[in-house]
Amino acid sequence: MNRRNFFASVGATAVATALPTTAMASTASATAGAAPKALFNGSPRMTPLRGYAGQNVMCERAAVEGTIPAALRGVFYRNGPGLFERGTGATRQRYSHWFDGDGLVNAWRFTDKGVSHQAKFVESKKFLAEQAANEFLAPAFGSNFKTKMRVRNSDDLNTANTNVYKLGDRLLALWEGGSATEMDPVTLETRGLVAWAPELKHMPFSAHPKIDPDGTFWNFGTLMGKMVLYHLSAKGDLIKHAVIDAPAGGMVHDFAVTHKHLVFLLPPIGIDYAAMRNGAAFGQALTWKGNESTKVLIVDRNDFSKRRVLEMPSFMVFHFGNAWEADNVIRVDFVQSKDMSVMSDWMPRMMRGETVAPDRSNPAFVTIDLNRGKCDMTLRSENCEFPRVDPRFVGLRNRNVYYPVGTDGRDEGFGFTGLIRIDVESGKVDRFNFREEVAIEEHVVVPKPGSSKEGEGWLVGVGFDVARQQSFATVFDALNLAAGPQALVRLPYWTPACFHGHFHAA
Amino acid sequence: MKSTQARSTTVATFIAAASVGVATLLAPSTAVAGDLTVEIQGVAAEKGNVMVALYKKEDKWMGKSTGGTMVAAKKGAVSVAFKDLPEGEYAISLFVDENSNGKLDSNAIGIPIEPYAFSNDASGNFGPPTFEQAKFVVGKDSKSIVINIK
Repeated sequence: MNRRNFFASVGATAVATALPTTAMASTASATAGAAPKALFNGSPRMTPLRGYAGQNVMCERAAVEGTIPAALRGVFYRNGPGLFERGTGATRQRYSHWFDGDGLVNAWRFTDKGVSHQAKFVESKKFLAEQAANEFLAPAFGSNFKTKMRVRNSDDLNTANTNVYKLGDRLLALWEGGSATEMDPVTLETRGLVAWAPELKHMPFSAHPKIDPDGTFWNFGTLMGKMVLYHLSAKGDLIKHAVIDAPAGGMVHDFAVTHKHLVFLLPPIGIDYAAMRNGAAFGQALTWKGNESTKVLIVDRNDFSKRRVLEMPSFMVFHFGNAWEADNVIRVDFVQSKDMSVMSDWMPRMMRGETVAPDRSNPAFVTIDLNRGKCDMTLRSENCEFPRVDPRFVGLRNRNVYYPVGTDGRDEGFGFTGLIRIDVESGKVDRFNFREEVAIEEHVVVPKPGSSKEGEGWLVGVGFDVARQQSFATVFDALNLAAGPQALVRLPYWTPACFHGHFHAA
Repeated sequence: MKSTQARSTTVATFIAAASVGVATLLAPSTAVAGDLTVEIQGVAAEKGNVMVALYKKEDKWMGKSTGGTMVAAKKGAVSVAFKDLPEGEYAISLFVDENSNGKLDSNAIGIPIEPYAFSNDASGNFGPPTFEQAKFVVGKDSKSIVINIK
């Protein structure tokens, strides 16, 4: 079979008879799998942004097309904002921003029996209180609801909605402005907030930790001018931490590590405190200071007190691919945009149901020469986001970076339509475009067991099939995306779009 | 957050001001006086002490308090009493000193990590609530109020 036509080969009618056995929570049936009624915006592409009503879903055996590689076994955890609305009629409330939604952790389990899927809301303090009240009780990142519950610290607003990683035996649902939330890796039951040490209780812990190939875990948090740096063991024990003054940045989302340094690019985002006092939500009070520089903060991994700050002309960055260094020169790759309009302008419009395309964001490659104190940036033209690299090469010299990508000349609005692997040494691109209308999310590299060659393994990720109104997972040969998916796993329902996740091999 | 830092500093000031151990009240007064009972609900566990500071309108709110008292924490509700209070407007700030170290502990950037609350269950926007938000009136008769710390 021509894998390029994978989707086309299995029409909706053909698959109707091959629906997997499902066991969905009874509360799920109203939404999950149902035909889209009057969407909030009328666009079937935007269905995943309707969110769930707080229900958990499960599919014990998803429909597999193609063949799941025998060595691909483990759990693919994903996390994203899963609930956007509460109340009905005159009391209906909807979050203004994609970042506001309450965390819904997904587990795609690849076993010898097939692939199952489970999604369960993180039972944060805020989520439980709002479920009981059937209304939003506190402001969120980009929504300024009136505070009707006790808010003592940012964890009272913690939606645990951005990423998920299994550290030791703890599954961590990650947010940005507060603590990690521990969940049971098997049942997805919420266990509670994590404090790495008493003085680190309720401290910000970003959703983008970087994990060395040996499991050593690095993270940071930013809060109102301060940064906290974390160094944890592969088991989740705190090795060291430090609180430092942030050189810039009202909001820092991600970072990179080399084998020697932590590397931060701090965009010139300010916070308008007066606006916040006048009722603006945190995200609404962020300001873009385009005439200021983007700060480059380099921290010694072995000694957090050894730091250096360089400057570059202003640009925005959310996500990093990787960093590595040799001969005192750091190479770091990320996805760059000219300012923060994707977050400040496009996302609220998208959440209102407007089918507009965001500003482009492109692969960027920066060389930081530590001897000369000089930074140089090269940009590519692909319109993409959510870069990932082979986890065996985090902090080390890598050759490949993987991204979901938009199709040139099309105006997709929400969701990407293809996948690319950029060979950063040759500049060559390995690309797969889905022919069907899909919204493609982040894809991660899963190494083939026993292999040590970069890219040898699979690229696994999820997407949304617009015509069927169903979510799916795909498995590609990570060194040959152009060949199309080796396997496609369909759910009988759609799920809200996720942000990030990790595959934990069995 | 700047806000929470500000709050933590002021709440910390309160402890110094309330400089606990003081049993019930002081309040030597000329006017007719009533008793105040404060029931604190939502205490998480039998761990440490609930530290209560009482301010009257004339005091510097969150500065030096008129009176301070403490009671051993127990799961559920505990109560404290202030005797013979002159008529007037008052407000209360309290916290649970879970590790019995005599202070409201904060994390590495100054955000309180032990439970705290104010009368009227008031909460501030960027910092502690104002005295006006937390105030209540004590008249000639005895009065009971409830503060939820959960």
